[in-house]
Amino acid sequence: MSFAVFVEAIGVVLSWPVAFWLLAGMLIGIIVGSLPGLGASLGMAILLPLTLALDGISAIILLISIYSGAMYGGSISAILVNAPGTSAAAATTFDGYPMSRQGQAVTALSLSATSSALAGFLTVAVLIIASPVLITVVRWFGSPEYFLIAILGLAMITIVAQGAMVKGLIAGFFGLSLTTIGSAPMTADVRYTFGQFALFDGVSFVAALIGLFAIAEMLKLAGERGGISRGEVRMGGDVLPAVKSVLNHPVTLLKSAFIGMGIGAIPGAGSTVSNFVAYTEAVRSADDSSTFGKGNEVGVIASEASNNGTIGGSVVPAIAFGIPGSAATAVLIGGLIMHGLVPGPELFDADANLVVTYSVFIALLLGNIVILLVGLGLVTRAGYLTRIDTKYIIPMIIALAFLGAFALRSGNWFDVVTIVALGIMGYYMKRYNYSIIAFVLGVVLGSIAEENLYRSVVLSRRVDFPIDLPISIFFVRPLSLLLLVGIVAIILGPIIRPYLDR
Amino acid sequence: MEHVLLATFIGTSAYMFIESYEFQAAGGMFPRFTSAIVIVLGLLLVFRAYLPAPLQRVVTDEDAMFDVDELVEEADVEVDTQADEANETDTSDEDSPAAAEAGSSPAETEEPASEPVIVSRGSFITGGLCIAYLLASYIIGMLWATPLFVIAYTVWSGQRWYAIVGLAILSFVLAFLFYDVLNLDIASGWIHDWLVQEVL
Repeated sequence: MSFAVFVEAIGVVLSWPVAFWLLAGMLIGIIVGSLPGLGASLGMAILLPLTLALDGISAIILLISIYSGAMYGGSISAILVNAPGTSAAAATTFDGYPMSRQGQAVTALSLSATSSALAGFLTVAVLIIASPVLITVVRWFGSPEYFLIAILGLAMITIVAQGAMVKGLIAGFFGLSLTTIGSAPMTADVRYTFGQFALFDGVSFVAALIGLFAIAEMLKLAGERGGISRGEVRMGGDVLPAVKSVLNHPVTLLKSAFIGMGIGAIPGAGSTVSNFVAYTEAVRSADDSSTFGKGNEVGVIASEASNNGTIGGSVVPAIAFGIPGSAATAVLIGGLIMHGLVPGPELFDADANLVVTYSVFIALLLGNIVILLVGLGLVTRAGYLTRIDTKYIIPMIIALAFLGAFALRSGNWFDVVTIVALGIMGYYMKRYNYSIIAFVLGVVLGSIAEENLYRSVVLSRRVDFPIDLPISIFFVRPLSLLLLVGIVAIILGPIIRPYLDR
Repeated sequence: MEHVLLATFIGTSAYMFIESYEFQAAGGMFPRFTSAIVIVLGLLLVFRAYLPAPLQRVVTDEDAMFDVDELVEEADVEVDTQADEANETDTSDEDSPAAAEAGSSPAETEEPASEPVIVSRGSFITGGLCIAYLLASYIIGMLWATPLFVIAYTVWSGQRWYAIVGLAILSFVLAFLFYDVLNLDIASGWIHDWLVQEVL
């Protein structure tokens, strides 16, 4: 059954116009990824309103392709101007930039394209092979578990990401609170609207994503200087020896790719973390580790293999449970919900939307071929991307954000106010270390969490439990109980740990 | 400014919590649950300086499972240590101009063409321009406010005249595409409606 759906998904991805959106997404991703200060989440957020005109599969494939392309694109400016386009390519500067200064920019870019493509391909192939297991696991989850996993995701993000746990939790729960504005999903209540008709549909999570990722990022970028190449970059080196070099280091490639995949699956960890972990591991295990930091090819391979490997890992919790592994997957979840595709069992049901899930996997797989072809084919032209001044980009991104937000619900001013208000709030949240991903998770998952909590309360009435509890269902289902224990352990862990250490 | 942020969280949540009792039991349950947590956590953060030591540590502890700064440092140290060891045993590399140029650790490499310098003034002015753009869009229509915003930003950021003109035209074309293709009503604003209704 699943194999038939898989074959159907291949046909879908290769059909017109889906294949076009895959290619367009990869190219857009490579460009936004290569521009310092932009990146996958911003590129995806800004294009989210425009995907309203597309069908669900085309839209999701466009978004996931931007994500994949941006992961590779980040290495271009990291190698050429020592400024990673995305933080996921930060470790690439260590050896990529020295190579560039030694006149080996083409070699470094070719190493990056080849290792990104191969690592991405391998990890997604493993993901596809393992998907029947994933499907089985996802089917164990019901309403109580989905509510609890949203809370577990929030708790995990707050301990995994930087910033105090309390700050992360407050950000996440404030995000959840914002989603209660407007009509209640299960009752006839109209909440916190002040009688304004524009508020009846609540806060648009797409507007929230645009505010948090586009406006807040632009405010941050406007406070920084630089990010472009001031001089000519000498494009020396060769493509083919670089491809051979990647193939001659299969252990580094595989290890880094699967470090990326493993860390990517942890909510909140993301590609920046996997990038440094994989690089450090490559330095630690190398025989010629003294050459790292001076233009060692293995450094570039490890760094670039890990960040593209992260993609395969981070889409698993996003699609299966609606828990983002990174900011980009948070936007992807937003895109899924916007197109009526709710993360969870429906996306793994062969009679429902399994074809969408497989299409996403196949698009990621094929996207790596695009990275290889574009990366190696246009490698000598990559220098042009580093000459674009971010000061040109900021006003255009803000203008696009305003126009996109206004178009979301055909001229709802509340959405434009939302992007400005949450943009400014997001800027200060970043500044004071409040987790943006936790906030986004709250905003995106709020209504789903509320529906699942409501259903859990209804189900609890039918449960035979010694105490009359409105949430007794959480205590009688083994999986719910396990998740509940996990949440309590994560939240109370930091309090209890010092006493246990003694 | 963090206190303003916390005041926003707590104030909004306090209102939501009180108001939630106006809804049906099922409709009020979730907002009451989330806003109560925000209020409790917000108050913990506001009064963190006065909390008992163990609780204060939990509230203020910013250690993460994966601390990116720590990872960067670790990677840097690995590279530096290995480079130092190599310098002690083999100095021949230093004779090569390319190696000499790239010899310093990445962290120490001079001329970082892109080293970000924090200039909060830029963020503040951009935020102000965004609010002005919002108001102008409402008053005169987003189609006209968009190029004005782009001109204001590019003039402030000291761009050359041809960049200012080029970006203003590009932004107008972009806004016009939204107006024409998506049929968005952005060509007129409040002032137009007022003129039509009150003056003409």
